[in-house]
Amino acid sequence: MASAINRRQFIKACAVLTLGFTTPISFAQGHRDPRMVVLILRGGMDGLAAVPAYGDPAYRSGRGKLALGTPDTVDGVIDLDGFFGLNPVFENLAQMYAGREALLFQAIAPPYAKRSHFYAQDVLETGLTNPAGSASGWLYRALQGLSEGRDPEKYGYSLGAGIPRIVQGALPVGAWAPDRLPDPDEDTLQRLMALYEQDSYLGPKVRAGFNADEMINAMGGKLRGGNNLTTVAKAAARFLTRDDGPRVAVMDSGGWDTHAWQGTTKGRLANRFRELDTVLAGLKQDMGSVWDQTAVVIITEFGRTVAVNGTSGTDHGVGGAAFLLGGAVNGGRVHSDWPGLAKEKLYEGRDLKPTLDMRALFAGVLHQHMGLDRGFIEEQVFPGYRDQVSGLIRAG
Amino acid sequence: MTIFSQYRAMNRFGLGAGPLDLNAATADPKGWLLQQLEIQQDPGPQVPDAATSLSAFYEWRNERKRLMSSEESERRAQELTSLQRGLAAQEQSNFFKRFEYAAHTRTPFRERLVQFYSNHFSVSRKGKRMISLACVAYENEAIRAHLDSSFADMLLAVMSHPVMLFYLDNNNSVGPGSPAGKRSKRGLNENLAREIMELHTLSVNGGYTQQDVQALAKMITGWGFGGYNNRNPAVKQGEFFFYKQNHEPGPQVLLGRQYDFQGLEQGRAALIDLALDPSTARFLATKLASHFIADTPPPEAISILERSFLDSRGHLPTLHRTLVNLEAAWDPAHKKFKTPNEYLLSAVRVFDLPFNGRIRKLIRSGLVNLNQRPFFAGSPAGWPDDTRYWSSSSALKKRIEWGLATGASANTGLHKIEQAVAMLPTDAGDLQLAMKRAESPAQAAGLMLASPEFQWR
Repeated sequence: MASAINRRQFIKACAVLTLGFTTPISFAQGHRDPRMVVLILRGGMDGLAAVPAYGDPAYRSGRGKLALGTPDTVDGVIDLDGFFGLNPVFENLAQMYAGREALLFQAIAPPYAKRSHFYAQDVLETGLTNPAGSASGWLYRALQGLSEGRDPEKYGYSLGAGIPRIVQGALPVGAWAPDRLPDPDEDTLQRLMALYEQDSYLGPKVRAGFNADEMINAMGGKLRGGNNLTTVAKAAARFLTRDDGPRVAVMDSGGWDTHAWQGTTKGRLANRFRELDTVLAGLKQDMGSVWDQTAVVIITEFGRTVAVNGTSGTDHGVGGAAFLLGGAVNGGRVHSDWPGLAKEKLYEGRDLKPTLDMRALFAGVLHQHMGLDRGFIEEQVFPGYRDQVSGLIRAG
Repeated sequence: MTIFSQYRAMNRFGLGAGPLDLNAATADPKGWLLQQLEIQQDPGPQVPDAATSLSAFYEWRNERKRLMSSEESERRAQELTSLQRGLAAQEQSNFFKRFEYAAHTRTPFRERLVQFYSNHFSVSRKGKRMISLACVAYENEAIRAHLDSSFADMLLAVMSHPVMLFYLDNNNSVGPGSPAGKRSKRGLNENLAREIMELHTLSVNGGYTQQDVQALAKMITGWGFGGYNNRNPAVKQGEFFFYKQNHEPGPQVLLGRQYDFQGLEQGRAALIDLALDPSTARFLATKLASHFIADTPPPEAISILERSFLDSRGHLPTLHRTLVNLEAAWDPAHKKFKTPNEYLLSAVRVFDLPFNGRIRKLIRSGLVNLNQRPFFAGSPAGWPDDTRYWSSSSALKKRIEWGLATGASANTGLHKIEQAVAMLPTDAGDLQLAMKRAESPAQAAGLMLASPEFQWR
């Protein structure tokens, strides 16, 4: 027993040593300069409303009045592969799918099945099955490897008010959020910065804050707009398309917890889908030629109950859907080891059973798209977790 | 110059040092805090009660419906706009009253506790417009009114308050075996039951299962209020009502204990037990310690609070006295980063800013830009209470911009600057010097509000 532990420790020590001497980026950076965007939909986006398994024999009975029609009906789903469909509100996403730029996942979940928003988000964002107190975010840890040779704070950006846990760690990441406050005058700012030099925690953050603002204003003037996904996605494109800008951006969106009257192709949830769809089309457009080197990961903490609840909504569930989009993505298909919607196939008789650990998607994107070394991912980003979904990224 | 314990009493426990506290707090900082825990005349901001506010919203909605169904015209568009503005103005008026009450209170420790529990039992109007006029009343009626009582009393008041019942969907939850459930297709909504256990009492690792969530959900079926379509003369619009016909009949088992009570008593008994559960004691002790000591408080401090909660059966004034007497809360090694709301309150208090139109505008834009609009938390967990969440680069930049703008337009005058300088603790020498060397009182005030020292409490 003792020798086994020693051996493991030895291997670990070797891995750390190796990391010290070589870059964890595993391919030459010559022609590729990949970008990654992570968008977290908070509240539990209803995966079965976004990507309905209309071909499952139990779909219509299980979903009841929230079931969408078949592709040949008015307001019916957009067919994806004869089994899965897309909520017809997603007009732009459907185009990306047709252009093989969208890869959709069904029955996916973070490694957690107890239906608490906050715990599920913690698992989703730390990438750990036990996200104790101050554990850092998995994207934060990945940034430490990805930014090799560059300041992590300049390599990864959190966009929008608040820093999501996925990029929280001991050191700050870059951050930007829209505001409508007046810019301070130079003299006052200088006096103030002298005071911030004395605060070792806040000082570096303040400097980074003013740097980010300069960067974004240099591209097409001050970006105005409310603190919403539309403005934040515009900012993402501005930052990511700069030669000296960050390569990873994270943003989030709330309001997906549809316990009551969620609707199907009209209503509360459809409105959220439409906003998301428009934002994605705008992001593709704003990214311009860089879109070809971009992968956008869209995730949520869990799916929702298959059945409608007592208030025409759905309650917290387990298995859900995720999207991977971008010019770099090997898309045009739905990736799912479909467990089925028949009552006996459901998790605890009520929720879609997850058949894919979301970490396999994250690890795949980090390795295949961003070029992060597998050893680094398995040691540092998702300690002890070794799977990844293959074939996520287009060859060449 | 104030000594550290005075500074900490006013900033850590209070809502920010200012001329209103100074004389009272400097003589005996701890005594000043303890005395605020004696029963007070503390009515809270004067806003219409929740029932009136909910009825006002229904009237507003009727008026809007009437307009929407009338013929489309320019006049109709104008009327709709002014209707919309009217609602927003009423909301804003309530929020300003709440802010002003806190900014001017002589019992700021008490007010901080009110806001702490109000965030613990958070309600948000985000996506739930119906409660937007009633949030401040909810805080007065469910939280403030029970600060001198037990945690169980507060929990019961919260869970039978229309604003919470609507916010977490319980008013629509119907027992599947109840008369109404058998008659219609309506059913159970487990949202409130789940959050009671996860966020308000036991916490996520408090040892409950999905079966417990469903059992509690069934026990509180029927807990509702007189709503929009209320036609029952026995039910008052906007007031709590127990809808017997929606209540799931029969005994339920929660956390291994069977509840045989009938009707309303069943849910009450379950809530009282949850309020007194050791997991609840642990959870609340941890949250209080994190709020009053540091993001990661010393484990001994949590244990002391936990003990106090259990020994007093959740008697809140006892628990709060224990808090004041915690050594760790006075340890200069620990600091807490102010949330935006705390930051703005402390800015108004430090210069005792007049509550005029200009300051109101600044407060409003500050809360919007720093992302803490009142009663607008993104989830039922309420606002986060940790440094990392609130101190991103972009958030700090915005604080600085807000602080400088507020300092510049506050017209503070020299004596208020001198007074504020004198309130700083002895180790804030750099800031004092910078303020004394400022080119104008406006710049000095801005430097103070935007300074790193002023971001911590």
